[in-house]
Amino acid sequence: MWASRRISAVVAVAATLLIAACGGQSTNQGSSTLGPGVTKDQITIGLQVDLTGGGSLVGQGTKYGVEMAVAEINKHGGVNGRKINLVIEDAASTPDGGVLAVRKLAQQDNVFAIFGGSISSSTVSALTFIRSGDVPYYASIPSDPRVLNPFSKLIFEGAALPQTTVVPDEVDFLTKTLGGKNIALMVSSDAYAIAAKGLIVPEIEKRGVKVATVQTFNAGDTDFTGQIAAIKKANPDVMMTIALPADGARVLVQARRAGINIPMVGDSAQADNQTIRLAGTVSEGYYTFWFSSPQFIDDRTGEMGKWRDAFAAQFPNPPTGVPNQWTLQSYADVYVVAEALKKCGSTVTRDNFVKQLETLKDYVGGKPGSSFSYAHPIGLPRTFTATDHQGSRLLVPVVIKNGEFKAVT
Amino acid sequence: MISLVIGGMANGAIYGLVALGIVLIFRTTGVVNFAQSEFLMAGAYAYLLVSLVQSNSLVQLVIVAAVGVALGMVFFLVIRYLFKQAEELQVLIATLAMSIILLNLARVVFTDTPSRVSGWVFGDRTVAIGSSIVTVNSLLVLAGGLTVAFVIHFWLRFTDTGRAMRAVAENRQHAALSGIPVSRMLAISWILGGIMAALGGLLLAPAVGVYPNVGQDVLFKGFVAATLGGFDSVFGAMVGGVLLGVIEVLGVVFVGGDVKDVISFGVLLLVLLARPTGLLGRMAVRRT
Repeated sequence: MWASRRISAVVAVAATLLIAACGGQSTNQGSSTLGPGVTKDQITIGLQVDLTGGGSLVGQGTKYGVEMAVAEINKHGGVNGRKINLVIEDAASTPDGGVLAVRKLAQQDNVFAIFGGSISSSTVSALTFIRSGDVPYYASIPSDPRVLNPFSKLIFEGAALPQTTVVPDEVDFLTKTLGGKNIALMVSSDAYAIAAKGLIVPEIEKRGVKVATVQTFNAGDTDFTGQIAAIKKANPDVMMTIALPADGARVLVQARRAGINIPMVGDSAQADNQTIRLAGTVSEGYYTFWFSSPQFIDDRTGEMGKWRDAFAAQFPNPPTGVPNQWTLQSYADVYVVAEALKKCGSTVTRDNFVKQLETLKDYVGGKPGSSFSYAHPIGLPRTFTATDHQGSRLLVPVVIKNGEFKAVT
Repeated sequence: MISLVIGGMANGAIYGLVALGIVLIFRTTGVVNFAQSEFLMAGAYAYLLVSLVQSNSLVQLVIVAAVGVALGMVFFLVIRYLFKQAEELQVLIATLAMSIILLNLARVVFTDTPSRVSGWVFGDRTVAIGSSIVTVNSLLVLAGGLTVAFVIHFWLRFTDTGRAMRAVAENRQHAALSGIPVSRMLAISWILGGIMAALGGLLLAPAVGVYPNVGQDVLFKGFVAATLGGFDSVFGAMVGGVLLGVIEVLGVVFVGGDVKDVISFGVLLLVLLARPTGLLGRMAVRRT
């Protein structure tokens, strides 16, 4: 009796181990090999995104961009006959939230890959987990340099430009275009802003230009009386704010009202209509940087106009501030992911997906050569290689004129 | 320096208004109202929405105050009658739960994206004081906050209703035995607390925008202000708030913006160590 119980226990343990071993593995179905999260009918993609908290403008915009592209793809039969099953987790704009969201997607929801739609603060914390696993992570939004550094085969960056790419161009604009010789910086506590500060200050000093002062504030702070007083005292000739749109707009308004009349520049996160909406007429003449698409989001002509119309038809009542630059970025990046999935053919495994992403060159969904001709080609080209997973590199300075963003001429 | 101090005092006046409401409610009812922040948020949204359809400042003020009254009344009814037999801790958790519900309702309806609203009465005007430029809204916040604090302080001391509220705060049973309508006094406390916070929302919104977390961002500062001033002192709440605002601004200038909260809470700890009843408090407040 005791012996038979022991045998039963051994068999049960062996069965459990066998099932666990099979859990994360590809399955062979006839002539196709399918990775986790893939069935004959669908591919499950996880979306990590900040639907609440300080990054929610970014998150809501991203979610709508992703949903629009996924709906279009599924309406046209999916990718190689497989519909995209989107699973969304709210990272709540916090480091803990980012980790929890990614863990849940990878371990509970068993997604094939994760689309990173969170801001840097809720992305960076999750990267250790991503790097230690086997789930591909396609980051469309976060710009912290730690996303791609250290390099990981699993991690790609689509639309977002890492600060290491952006900072030299931004500093060129501050020092050459605006002629800044004594530059003040106002930096929020967001992870990407702190990363940018660490790069911008030496870049400015490398050009022989003085950093008048660096003032910091906690993201979400609403009063900058102290910082603005310190900036006025430092007497800069150019001021740059590195913060999300709501914070940047508050700084802009309070700085202008306090009598700071020098050229003011926001980082690329502030190239959003929320900056104009929150700052009102005070935003006239405010500079920032755009990298989300060839046309500006409020341009109603050409492909952007068609995309805006299609968006309005699909989402007649989006939240305030949506669509925005992150809607554009994520929409375009979903097609990048879809193209790689398409190229996987019958071998839809994570390894092959990564390999196919690395073959994409100057890819824009909807442009000639793309598998998805019905997509709106509103993205900037993405190029990846086996050793370079940064998809985009183009940055355009813009200025607010008559309540709209215009390219700086 | 003038704009620094005025700016700090204006911020502090908002903290003081939040603290005033917290202290008023706590003194009389014994309830620490964690939803005070959502009263402020409601006031801010009420101002935003009414300013879209009505430009008369008095009407805007009345509607915002009415929202404060309504919320105060709802909370009074819930706490007084639904949580009648509950322990203090349970009631505190109930206010926290209601705070979270209101906050998330606002998120669902309005999302987290901030909205812009002009300054009440004076719009976005600025004025020069010496070589400093300050917004008229800041001066209004400061003047408004101090005025409200004075009015409430003198009302509590010199009017029959005010004295009745103080009696209920001291000892509810004795007050009832004296013929004071305790329930009515409790309701008035909640309503006044609601009005304070809603007015705070009307004054704060033009400076920072309107968004669901607008009250949460000042709630703990309100508690700090209330503690600094002495949790039983209405006037102390405003003094505590203004002091906190000035300390914050000076802390930013002389130490740094990202340690602002460290400085604020550090000062609180020092005050509590040196004077546990707060700067203007008289005794440890314990409900009977």
